Amino acid sequence: MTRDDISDATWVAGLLALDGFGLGGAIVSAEAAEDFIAALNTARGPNGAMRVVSSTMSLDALTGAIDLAATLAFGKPVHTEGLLATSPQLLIRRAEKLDTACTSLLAQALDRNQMLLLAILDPYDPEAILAAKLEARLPFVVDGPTEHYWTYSDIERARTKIKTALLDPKWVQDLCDAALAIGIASPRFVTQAVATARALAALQEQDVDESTVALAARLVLAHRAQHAPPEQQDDDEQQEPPPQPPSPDSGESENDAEQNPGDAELILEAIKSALPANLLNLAADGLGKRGAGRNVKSAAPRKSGGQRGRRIGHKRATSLAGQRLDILATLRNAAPWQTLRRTWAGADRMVVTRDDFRVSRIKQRNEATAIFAVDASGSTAFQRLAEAKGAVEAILAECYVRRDRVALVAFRGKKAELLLPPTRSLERAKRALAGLPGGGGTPLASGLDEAYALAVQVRRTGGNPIVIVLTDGKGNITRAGVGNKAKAFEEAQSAAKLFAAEGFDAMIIDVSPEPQKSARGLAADMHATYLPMPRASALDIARPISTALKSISR
Amino acid sequence: MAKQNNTAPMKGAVKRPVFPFSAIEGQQELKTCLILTAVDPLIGGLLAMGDRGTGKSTTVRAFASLLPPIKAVRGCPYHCDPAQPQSACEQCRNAAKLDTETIQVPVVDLPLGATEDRVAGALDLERALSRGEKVFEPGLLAKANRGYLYIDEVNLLEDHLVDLLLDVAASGENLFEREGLSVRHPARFVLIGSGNPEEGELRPQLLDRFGLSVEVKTPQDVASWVEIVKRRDAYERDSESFLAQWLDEEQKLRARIEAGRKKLKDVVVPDSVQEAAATLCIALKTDGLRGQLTIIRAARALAAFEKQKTVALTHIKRMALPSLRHRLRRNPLEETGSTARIERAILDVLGP
Repeated sequence: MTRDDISDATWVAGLLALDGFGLGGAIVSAEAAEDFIAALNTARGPNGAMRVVSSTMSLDALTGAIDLAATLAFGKPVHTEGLLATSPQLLIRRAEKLDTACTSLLAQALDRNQMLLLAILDPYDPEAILAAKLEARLPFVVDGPTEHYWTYSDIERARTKIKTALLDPKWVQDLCDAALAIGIASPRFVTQAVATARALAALQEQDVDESTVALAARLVLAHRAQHAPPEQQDDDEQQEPPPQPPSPDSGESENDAEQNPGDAELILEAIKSALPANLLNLAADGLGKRGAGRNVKSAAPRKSGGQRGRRIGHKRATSLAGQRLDILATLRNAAPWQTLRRTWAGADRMVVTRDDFRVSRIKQRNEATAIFAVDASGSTAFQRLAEAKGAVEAILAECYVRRDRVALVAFRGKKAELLLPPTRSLERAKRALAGLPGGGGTPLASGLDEAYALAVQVRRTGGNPIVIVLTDGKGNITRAGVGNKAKAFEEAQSAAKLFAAEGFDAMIIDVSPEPQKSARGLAADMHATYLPMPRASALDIARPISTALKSISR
Repeated sequence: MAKQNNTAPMKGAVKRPVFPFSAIEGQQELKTCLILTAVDPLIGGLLAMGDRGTGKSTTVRAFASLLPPIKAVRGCPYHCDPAQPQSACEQCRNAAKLDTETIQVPVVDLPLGATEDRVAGALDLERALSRGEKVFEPGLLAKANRGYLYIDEVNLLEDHLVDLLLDVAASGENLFEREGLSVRHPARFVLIGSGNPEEGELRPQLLDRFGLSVEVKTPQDVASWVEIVKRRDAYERDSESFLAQWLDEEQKLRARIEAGRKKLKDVVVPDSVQEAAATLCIALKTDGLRGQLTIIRAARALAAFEKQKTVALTHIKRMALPSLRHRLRRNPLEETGSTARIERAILDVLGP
């Protein structure tokens, strides 16, 4: 096998073996993980294998803490060393479950070039998203096969070159041009590409040239592309993007400053070859954002699912049944008495009595999430969409004081769409709402399904969903996206009954000019509150919803 | 250094010096505002909101190493100021003689998931276990006294920590009444928060605690990107010589901050300028007086930093945005952002 045809994943394994701390790490798909890690460990040789840890680890596991067993045995505090100090090359499975504190610490360690991190996301949860803070600090994505190509001696040889590999400053210019052309969000990623190009050159024992820069761009920048690079040709080519390079003689206005216009295009070509297919079909006008190949949503990192609610302190335990002993608090409580008790009991170790026991007090996260399902179809859109938008914003303004969240599902035309995943951000909500068009049929069942799925997800992560449907109840598009009034009605009915079965709090706001029987029927099926709002303003709609939210969030 | 406190020192890993503050490309508003909090700490902290990857954390961390060193009581966990016994901790106040030392201004990271124990302090386990003594072990608030407390992703901070911070920030003291201990110690610090507005809003009470607020954006032109990447690359490759290259700039800036501090009390604020600030605040209907006080303070610090003897209208105009941006009543149905509203008001009230 020659170096020309080794896979991208194999390159990444070599790069991370060579300069893992400098480059940071990678997001690895679950299927590709086994081979990749084996190859990486081989190449790392005596530098130590990757340490596998669980994403539910506590902060103590990272930073080190008091070793309880040893502390009790010796009668003086014994500290353990944390993973950050002992083995800063971590492999984290289900990394989307890392809590915010661990995420912050790992990010800091990555910033200081003191950590090599491989993150594996849950393969069974397609919505698993790595905390944005970490995602931005891991340059690579590994989702293909890795070959056992690099040996430890290859890596050691390259190590001597890495500081000296030259990089012509014009490559920085070209990489920046290419990054801006595909909508890369931050110069940080170009820095990662530059570091990668250097390391690649060292691996190949040469200086940085167009092939290393192009490969670096493909490995680091391509998966972050927000849209395909703008085509030099006119729109008529857009339907079928040409796989061959755009003609080199077509001028590019942005690249005046650079000496050789061919190079930036070379980088773009390399990137294009690795772009997800759906991106290529989109024009470079920002439309691509939603279709980006990877989850780069800047969602707040999820709370760990295992333990609902946060510890707000501890209390004396009357009985330990079903409660979690707060060991640290118990020790702390016993500590001041030790000198006394030791003499009294004649013991030479720590004496803990029943009175010292403390259990954690846990506050359930009772956070409410208002899920709006807005009917944006032709029948409601033109008169009521503006009010519905206003109501969502008004609720959100209140929610952020109360720390509640808001999500938005819109349905129109043939299908429903999640416009806004649960958020507390006014700005995101405004943007999502502003972009909501109206018109078309009413796929009521799909809208209800989408809201239902979201409600289930919210409840699973410990939140309290309330679903608010703004509609006239006249569905006319089936789940399959076909116009059929009778079938659509049947489907909407069965979708509505799911809400009742799960016992979700729900509310139907009838936005038609006259109260509709259909909407009232739907509310009955959902066990939802029915509110006819024939001529309501945004704030009129918001008021009853806000009352309902208050009652369920506290 | 104090800012390293969250992580144990790393075996084998190379400890790098921090990226120099003067080498940070762009971010002019953020940089100026940070400097002003050093010229006059009473401005009351800084909030930097912006997208990810805009270099907020880098800038704040770089700023930490720029600050001129301070004198402190040797061995005091709160590094009390020997020249200001009235604001010192109990021990330093009652001590007959104080030993002093020169230390770096503490810049303490408050990690998001920190427990209350870690922030406010707790019973010292080691002393309690080994000697049966009840002794207070100071937390991050104590470490940050006379320095900076930096919270990244401040908008995601847990509510119970926000409450704690609000109490301490209002009184300048940490009152610890738990586990049979009763401790009161000074905790005066400049609060620096950063975060991404897309991930959530700050509680209004906390928002009001920040003196200044800036919006951080990624530059969108190729030239700045090239410069950012080049500098970063040079730093990554050989941080020692990169630092040496910027040492001169760093020292110049540090000297200017110190000069500004000395000059601050002599800067005059004419009545006409006071009035202009008041008119602006009234026109924008800001809540309370804090906005107006902050404009004046920030404008005065800016004048001192720029070696001016009097505060001029231009200083007010320049500081109005960061002082008021986060204090406008939020109307959810209003489309115009705070920044645009203030810019319009400045033009209407103070003229071009």
